Amino acid sequence: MEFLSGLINFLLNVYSEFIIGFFIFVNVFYFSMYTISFGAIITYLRRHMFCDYRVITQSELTPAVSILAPGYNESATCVESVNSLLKLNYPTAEVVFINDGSKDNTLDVVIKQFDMVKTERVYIQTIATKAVRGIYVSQNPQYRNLIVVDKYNGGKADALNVGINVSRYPLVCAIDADSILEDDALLKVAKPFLDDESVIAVGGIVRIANGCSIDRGKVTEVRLSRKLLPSFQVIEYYRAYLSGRMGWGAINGLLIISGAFGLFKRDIVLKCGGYKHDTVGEDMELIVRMHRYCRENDIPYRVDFVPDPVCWTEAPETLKILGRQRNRWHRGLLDTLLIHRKMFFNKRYGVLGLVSVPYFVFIELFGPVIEAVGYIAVGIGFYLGIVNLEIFTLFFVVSVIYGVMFSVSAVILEELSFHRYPRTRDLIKLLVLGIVENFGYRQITVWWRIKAFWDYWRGVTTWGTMTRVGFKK
Amino acid sequence: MIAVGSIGLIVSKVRSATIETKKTKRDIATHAALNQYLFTEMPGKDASGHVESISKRLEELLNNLSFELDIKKNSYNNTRRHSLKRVMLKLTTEVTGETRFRLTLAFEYFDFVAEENKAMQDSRWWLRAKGCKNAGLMRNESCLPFLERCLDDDNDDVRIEAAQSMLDIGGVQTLSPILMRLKDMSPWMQVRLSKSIFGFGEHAVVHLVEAMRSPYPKVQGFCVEILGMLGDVKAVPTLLEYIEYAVPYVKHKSLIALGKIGDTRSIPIIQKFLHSPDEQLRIDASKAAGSLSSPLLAYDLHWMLVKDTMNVKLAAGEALARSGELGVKSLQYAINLEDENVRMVALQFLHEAGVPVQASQPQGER
Repeated sequence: MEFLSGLINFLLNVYSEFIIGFFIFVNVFYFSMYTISFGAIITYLRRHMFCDYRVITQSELTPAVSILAPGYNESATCVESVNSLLKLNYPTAEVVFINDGSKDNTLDVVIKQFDMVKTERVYIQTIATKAVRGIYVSQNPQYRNLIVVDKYNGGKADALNVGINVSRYPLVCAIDADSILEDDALLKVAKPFLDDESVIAVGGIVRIANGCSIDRGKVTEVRLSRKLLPSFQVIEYYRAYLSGRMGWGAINGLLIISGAFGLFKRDIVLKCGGYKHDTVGEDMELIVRMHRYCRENDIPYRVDFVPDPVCWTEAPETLKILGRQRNRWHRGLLDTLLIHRKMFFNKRYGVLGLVSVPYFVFIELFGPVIEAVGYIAVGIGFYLGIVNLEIFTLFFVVSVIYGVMFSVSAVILEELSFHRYPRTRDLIKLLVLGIVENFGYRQITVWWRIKAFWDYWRGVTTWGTMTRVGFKK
Repeated sequence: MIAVGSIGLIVSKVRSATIETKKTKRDIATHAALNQYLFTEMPGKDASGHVESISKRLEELLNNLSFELDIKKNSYNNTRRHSLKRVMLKLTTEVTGETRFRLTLAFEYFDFVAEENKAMQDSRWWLRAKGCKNAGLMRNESCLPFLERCLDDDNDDVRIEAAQSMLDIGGVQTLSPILMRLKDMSPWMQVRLSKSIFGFGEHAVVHLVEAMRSPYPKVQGFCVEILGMLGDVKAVPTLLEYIEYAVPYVKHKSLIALGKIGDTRSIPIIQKFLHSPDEQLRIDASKAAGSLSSPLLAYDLHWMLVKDTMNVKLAAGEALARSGELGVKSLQYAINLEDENVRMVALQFLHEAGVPVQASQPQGER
């Protein structure tokens, strides 16, 4: 018994030292990323002073874009979605709506509304996909930029691959059917392709639309949701995009461009083989594969990120749905990192192999496990009476302060740059939530992410139903 | 630190609205004073045709403006001075003719031009770029040497603003010197400059042709592309001359440009490139042939439709659909061939051209 107690004591001591080391490492890393992001945002804002987007709209030299909108059982919303995509501010763009074998009358609704007829257009299957049943174009000149593809059901990734095969333009934009895009979204994400010809993919900031007023598919008034869960997610998105992805973009180590909105060079996507359809993290997996392809073939490239809020999405409002979403994200992360494990600490992949992938493995993937084991160890320690209360309290307070500091820093970055929440009370609420989220919310997300390991091991590959409550009109 | 940051953030949010209101009020007052200078009627020329009285009157008005706004010429930190500069720069895009000329004079009078010339030599890129941009808006020729120096800047934004401002100040005459000076052109620079060049219209052609002597492919490619878009036949001999020995990047652009200009002198060279070993060149030549819509190329296009790769087949099919009766007949013939791909491509373009299709049994190729 004494031996067991001594062993536990020893293990707890080792773990507590590991935790302190890990804590210092994580915070130093976050601080570095925040500094890089801050510099990148300032540079972006300075460059922004010399960018008149009207010039892009008026120029014949602007690269044309194919917008890919996959839809499955979207009969209620497809017309509004397609209409808002057709109205996006961009000189040359085509909208490719892909009906992914919907069981409802999505196809009929689109055909009727946009006066579509079946064409004899050749479908070249550069990326292998499920069979295409028909390609439709509109008889109405007003919709000459709309193409509707009807195919057998194969999931979102398969539908996007069909869209990539069908598209005619050098840039392809993948979006979620329920994303709300800003009018100038395409212009803003196309700009990096004009600045630097080696750019192969660009992502932008996705914002949470819960609480905002939406009119005819556009965000007309930005407000913070009255509900707690979506507001917590606003803070999380700030941290992820403004202090995370912006920094990764600056060092060309960005591994994720949200599936809700991303712009890619079509020829590189085709060479990489398009989206992988047997993973739940197909958006991240494609970016990692694009990185890998360019590195392995010595192609100079950049994966860029613009800090402009370009896309709005509806965040889950219940714990159950949020849990499913986080679980899926974590399974996607795990799957992608396993597929590309060759890159882990491999200097051939430069900053990607030596910094990005190890960061995602140690901090993003295993961070929740380390945190959860910490909570358990503290419990055991208290039970055995071996926890030094003063040190524990100090550590806890410091960790909360660091968490709050990064949340506040993210809010400051937002206020310095785009300040999309005009009301002071929203700002105060965000600052308060940055403190509150450390007590309860953070621990729940840790649990969801740990559960993802178990689900992945069991072979769960489903997305889980994402019930949407709809936007305030 | 967190508390200070948070409080500072909230205070700045509340204050920013007040500051903005104050700034707007100040600008409105400045605008009113400036209107006096900009829109006061001038005396006519005197009997001997001298304009001295006009210059004298303008100087008088500028002195009044300076007095009214309490602006000291050498005091660079004056809030009213900043407001005047802001309002004047904003007005440059809204006024033309004599009023624009008066603004240019005022920029010089208040030393704003000298300020921008100094900014163009700053060590910080964003200040140099802003200096270049403002210099263009001020339309003062004394800025040209500074702008010319900025064309060699390390920063792309500085180079773009400098080139743009030089075009704004010096007009089309500066086009070929600018292009000859540039070593590289980002797509963004091309987009920016193309807008001004299209504004010059056919006057730009001779300068673009001259700039094609640049040793840099990006500059050559840009000139070729714009010449194609301008569609002036004067450019054809130069394009035909350059296409033979240009790098592939310029060759691709030249073919497209020749197609867009649509001059029959290009037919032999397009025909030659239809048989190039480079697939992309064959595609570009097909596109050019489609733009030319000449039946003289129909035979070659038909051959490509039947024998070439899928990507070339598609380009050739599209070109045939636009090559008149002979092209359509060629497509109608192709839908009866055995090759499934050829039939599909022919069917697609006949369908898109609105030609009724009646396919018979597939035949062997002749």
